[in-house]
Amino acid sequence: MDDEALLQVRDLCKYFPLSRGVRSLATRKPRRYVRAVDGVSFTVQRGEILALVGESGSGKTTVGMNVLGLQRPTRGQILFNGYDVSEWARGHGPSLEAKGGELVSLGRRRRVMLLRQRAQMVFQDPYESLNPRQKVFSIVSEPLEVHRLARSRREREEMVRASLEACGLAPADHFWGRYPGELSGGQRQRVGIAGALVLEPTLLVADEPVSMLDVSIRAEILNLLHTVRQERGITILYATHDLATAGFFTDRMAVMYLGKIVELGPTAQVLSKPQHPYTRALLSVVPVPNPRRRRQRQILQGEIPNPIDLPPGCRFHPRCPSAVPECRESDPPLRPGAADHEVACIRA
Amino acid sequence: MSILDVRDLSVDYLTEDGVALHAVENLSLRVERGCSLGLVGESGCGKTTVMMGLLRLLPEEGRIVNGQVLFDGKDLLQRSEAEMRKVRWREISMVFQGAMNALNPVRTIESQIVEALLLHHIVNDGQAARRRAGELLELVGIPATRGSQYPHQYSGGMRQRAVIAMALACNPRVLIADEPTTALDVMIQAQILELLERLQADLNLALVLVTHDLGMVAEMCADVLVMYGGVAAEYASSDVIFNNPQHPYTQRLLQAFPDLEEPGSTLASIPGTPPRLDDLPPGCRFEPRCQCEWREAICAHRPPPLVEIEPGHRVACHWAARMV
Repeated sequence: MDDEALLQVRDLCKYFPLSRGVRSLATRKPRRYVRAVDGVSFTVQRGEILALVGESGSGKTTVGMNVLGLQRPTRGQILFNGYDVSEWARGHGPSLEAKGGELVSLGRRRRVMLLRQRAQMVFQDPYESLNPRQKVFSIVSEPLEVHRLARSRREREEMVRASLEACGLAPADHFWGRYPGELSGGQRQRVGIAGALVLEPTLLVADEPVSMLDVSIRAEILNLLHTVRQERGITILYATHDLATAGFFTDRMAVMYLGKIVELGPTAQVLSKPQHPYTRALLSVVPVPNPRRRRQRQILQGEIPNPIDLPPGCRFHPRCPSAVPECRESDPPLRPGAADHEVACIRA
Repeated sequence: MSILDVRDLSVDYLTEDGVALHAVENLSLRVERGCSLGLVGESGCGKTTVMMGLLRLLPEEGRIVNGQVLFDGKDLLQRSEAEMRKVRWREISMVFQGAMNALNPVRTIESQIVEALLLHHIVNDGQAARRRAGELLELVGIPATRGSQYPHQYSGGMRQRAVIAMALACNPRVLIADEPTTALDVMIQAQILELLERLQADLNLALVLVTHDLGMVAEMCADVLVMYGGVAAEYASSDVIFNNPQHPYTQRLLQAFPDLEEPGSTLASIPGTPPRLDDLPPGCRFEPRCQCEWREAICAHRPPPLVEIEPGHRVACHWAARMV
């Protein structure tokens, strides 16, 4: 099964050092770290959509950055297509590529480019992420120029057209002469996705792609991502704090808390039988679109603690409604349960 | 008597060429003391314009063309600007969209609340103002000792609480909250909802919640007004809106909302975009996007009036009106 996996993350850790003041330098206190991601492992199969769910500060964005090779992990390994991403991002990727039926050997720079081409990102805020002075055509065709993927103007136009139309912006010529300011929020996000898809990546990291959009438009964008997976078999890593949208189109779900995965399993399974108290609390606060089904919310007070001074034992215990004294003593690992459903809780 | 009773409010925006764009037309709404109303609709449907209009805080290009805004029975539109200033914040207070990001970064939270208290002569000496600021912070669940901190030392959720505390500084009777939880995490969102619910009950506040998020409205509002393209589409109790919606727009909006208790079903989207103000359809504003199978010629020609199809349930749809 692991042979099939497009992405394997093994014990990923990413620590960011804090800057030290003069006093701590003088007293030789050890350097302190923000432990943004602290031992995360998961596998994503080809064509699968995995949701990374968690609040701000849970580390989901950092996982995405490391997967794309934009940051170097402090520890651990990320295999994309079988190659170590952090090595690949420094030019040690696969040395051969199939091109038109022939194997071409790749130089150092081309190897990095190949990683960038295969793993693309969809950003959170389509109002901020598109250059307001660039027309839609140039936004979507820029990656093609960077990667020298189109041989002629004509070919480039065809590729941009195909990508825009696949993203629901049809007819493409109607849109590509416009500036982002002339488009609605949903259309802008479609441009953002078209810009990622034009390179025909195998992996798409979508970090909160709908949180800035109106609820009525969210459905369109999520359905688009779903179609893209259906038609092109693209693997998607969907980072979000919103369980409701994640429940809709993802195959599996990883719930993160303070840099760790606390629950991992098939989406339907996690939502119908949540095992971890954090997942249960998160589920209980998802708004229900019907006043007749209002229920007791299990609100966790306070916020995610800072990831510098982590609580001892299970990092969720200070906020956990069902914590027992043993929770302070050991940090429970992710343990497999029924039907590929893993939980990190001693009480599960 | 309702505490806030808006009747037939219409707001135009004048363009540079002197053309009047009808941003809001004949909108009526009513909020009782201690009750809550949800104002729902997509971006650009006029929700915020209505609120700015009733507070008479419209930008320079905005004009109130007709209507009444009865606050406690008296029309706010007839008041002078000086009188209006006594209404704002003291009687009707608003938490503006994105207000949590508009806190002054170089002043402490406490001093920003104290400023409001002194400016509105709620208290007249600094000592008492600071004491009251502390009370307000405690009221929204922030330890009074943190008043001496700066906005950057607060998390997003705490900044939003501080802004709500500020809005409550002058003991208003009506609180308008414009998208109070957008950009906040689900758990923090739930905390803010819980806070608003508690404040509403404890202080007997009339609450107007302006949002595009139906889930929030279902969780806490008694009545719901759905707006589309500057007009009311449907107005009823939230039980009716969520269980027996009659306007095709409300129905589509509900289908587009993910419901975790029925996962797996595909999310319906509403194709097309809301109408542009300079190109409003002549008939029903939703007609170009409406996929209702009973759509007929009249929909494209005559705007449907808001009709009360059953007690307390108003719908602006030709078809729904005929079914009564």
